[in-house]
Amino acid sequence: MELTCTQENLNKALNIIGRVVNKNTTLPILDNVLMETEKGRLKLSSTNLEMGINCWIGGKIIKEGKITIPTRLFSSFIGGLPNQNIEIRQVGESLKLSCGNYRTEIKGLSAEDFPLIPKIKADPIVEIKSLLIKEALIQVLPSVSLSESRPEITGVFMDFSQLDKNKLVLAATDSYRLAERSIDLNGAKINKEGLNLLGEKKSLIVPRNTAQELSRILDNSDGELKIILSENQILFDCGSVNLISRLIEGQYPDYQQIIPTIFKSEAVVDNGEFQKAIKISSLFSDLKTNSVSLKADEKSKTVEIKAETGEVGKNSSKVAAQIKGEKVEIVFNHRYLVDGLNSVNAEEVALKMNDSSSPVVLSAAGGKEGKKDFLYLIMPIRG
Amino acid sequence: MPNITDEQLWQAVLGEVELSVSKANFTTWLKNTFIVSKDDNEVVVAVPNAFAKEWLENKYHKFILEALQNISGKIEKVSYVIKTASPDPKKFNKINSQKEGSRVDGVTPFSQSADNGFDGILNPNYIFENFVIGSNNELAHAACVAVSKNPGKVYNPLFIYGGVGLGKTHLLQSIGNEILKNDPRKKIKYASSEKFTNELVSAIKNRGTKAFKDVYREIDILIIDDIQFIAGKEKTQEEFFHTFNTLYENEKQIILSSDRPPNAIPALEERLRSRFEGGMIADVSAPDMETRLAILKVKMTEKNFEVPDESLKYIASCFQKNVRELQGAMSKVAATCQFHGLEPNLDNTKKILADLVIRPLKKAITPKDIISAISGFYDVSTQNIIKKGRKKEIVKPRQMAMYLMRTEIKSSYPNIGERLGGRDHTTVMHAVEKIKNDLENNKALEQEINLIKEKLYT
Repeated sequence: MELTCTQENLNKALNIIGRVVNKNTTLPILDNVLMETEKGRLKLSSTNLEMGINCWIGGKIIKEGKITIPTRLFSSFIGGLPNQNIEIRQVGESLKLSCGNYRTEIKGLSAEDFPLIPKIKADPIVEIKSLLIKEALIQVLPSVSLSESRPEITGVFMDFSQLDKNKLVLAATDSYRLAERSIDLNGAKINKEGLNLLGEKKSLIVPRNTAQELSRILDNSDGELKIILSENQILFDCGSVNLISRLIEGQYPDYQQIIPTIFKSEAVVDNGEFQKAIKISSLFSDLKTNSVSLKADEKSKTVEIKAETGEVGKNSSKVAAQIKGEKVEIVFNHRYLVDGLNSVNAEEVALKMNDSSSPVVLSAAGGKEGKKDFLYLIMPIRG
Repeated sequence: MPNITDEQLWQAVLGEVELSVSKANFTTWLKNTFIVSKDDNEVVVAVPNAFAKEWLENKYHKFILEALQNISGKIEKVSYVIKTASPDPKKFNKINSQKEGSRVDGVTPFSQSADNGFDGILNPNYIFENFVIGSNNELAHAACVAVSKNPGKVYNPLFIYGGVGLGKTHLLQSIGNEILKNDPRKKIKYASSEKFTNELVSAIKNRGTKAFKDVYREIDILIIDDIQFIAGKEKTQEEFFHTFNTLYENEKQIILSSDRPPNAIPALEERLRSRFEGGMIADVSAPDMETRLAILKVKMTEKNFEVPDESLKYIASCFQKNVRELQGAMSKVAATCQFHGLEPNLDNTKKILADLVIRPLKKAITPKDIISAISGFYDVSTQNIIKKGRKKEIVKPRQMAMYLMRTEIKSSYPNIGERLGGRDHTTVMHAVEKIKNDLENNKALEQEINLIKEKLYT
């Protein structure tokens, strides 16, 4: 293998694929990145056997070939080079690089032993703006369960059942809170036949790590993302980067039934002010439960936030609010609350409540149609 | 090859493939694979993920096909599907409910299989087959075998006691292994009393005592090693008491071991003591010469190493009190001889064991050491031993102290009297005489003396 490419491109590619690499003791080659010339471009691949990433960059290919190189070393090395052209040449199982005044030789391993990253040859079921998916993933990811005790909720739920209504729904929960985002597919290309692969359920569960990587890989540009399915596998294709991953098997909980439809009271608050007040109160909350209490009263036109711990002290603050309905007081875990307020991503947030033991729903306030697409539900802490 | 099951076939294939690929590759790509279906000339193999599928299809296909053909001739085609090893849950549940109607509902099938051989703590090397029976442990062994054949029905609880390194743990684990062998579905919990305490403590810390209780009360056989360590831990004793009762009422087998009989464990609650004594109590004591020789011979066959009789006799005569040390000595002789190419004759054996045998067996002990050992063992204060007063619970420890001072450090009678609060030398003579007589008739007392001596000299 012999080629020339820019430091910038190589560095960017290594940053993308390097995240998948984790120290694998049984198969040391998984610590390596596979470099391979393919159709006039350089392809870099890495995998942890749960997911694999392929990334293509441009360059001048002089001689075809492939080799694997320790990812961490290679990535740190390339990151430190000046932004100039890099000449890369394979000599046996080593890679010789020259860039500016730097001359380097890195020992690698034969590409023969590198895992084959599965290929999916199928038509995409959806082709959609990258940015939309990225935004939605960032909103739901904080709610994904970290506990392995229920594998089916350790991923992001993707529901394709409402494609007829041009809607793709993403959801995540850890059984204490739930985030649901629906994406408007107007203008996206949909291949309804591809859906048969999903079987009866018309939905799938993407592992948390995969979803997280995907949200990082997708850039803010106008690029398109193709979602391609095969048995147990999903491929996210965004042009120069491909992410392929296993799917989580299992039945995602039927979360719709726990979202209340009727609310006794509703408070609309300024998101920034409200978050600030909660963060201050959280300093005084109990370390075990992280509890802060909210009290909404129509007459006083404020939401009062309170926290108290015996040995630390106590705090209460009031945030102006437009309140309709009954007086109510509910105790929350402040972390969940702040996560939710962040995810709502609107200047004014509506808190919809019933009583101290029923779930509360957060969503963007106001009638603007575009913002109706996200809701965040939190279970209260019962006294 | 007729009548070979898919599993056997696949094991054979794996065995062949293993030879041609590296270990890391073998475990990465062939773990959790199995045969899904097989007809005359096609085999379908399940693999856990798409990476493994790609790899097997493209890299190992030739090995696998060849191996299959070697073993089962006609196979022409192998294909791979992605499937995880866990059986279809619906089917599993069905089988479960048919076979084990008595199981509690709501317990998930997967945790059940994980429960067996609990935490992998049962050591498979401890089985009845390699336990050497002698007059010193006949009774204990017989009781253990009876319990393993019929858990929960005969001797419940079974209480085994005896000194260090005499095979208590071996017997206990053998019961567990034997029961599992007869019925792999049985849930066995093997724990030291320290582990029991630790689990309880962490359960209290995490407010999970309910889960703790559930774990311990839903098992079929509870084995607790070294139960004497729960002495003095009140909360543990209470929790153990309740666990004990629940299991006992449900006819679940409880097996305990200790270094002394229940009535000699200090600071043990009365209700527990009486329960321990309610079942079968058997002791294992130090083996006699013949048994020690037999143990050495078993060890010799295990190691596949020939040692002449006179050497064996020498080893057996040097290590009288502790089977573990006896086996250790044997291992040392075998290893040294094999390593240096020596003949294990009497001279060499003596040389090899010299540093083990001529260790300063009796470190210098003082009357003070004896008194504090006694006070620790019987849980009475030193002052009470020395003070005037003839309460029954103090008199016995005091007499023991006198006996030990006389036999172990050969103090004169008046001197002993002096040490123990200015008592008359005739009192001491009477005490020593009494303990000596009791020792002849009372096995438990002998056990106690040995334990105290152990404490003194370690």
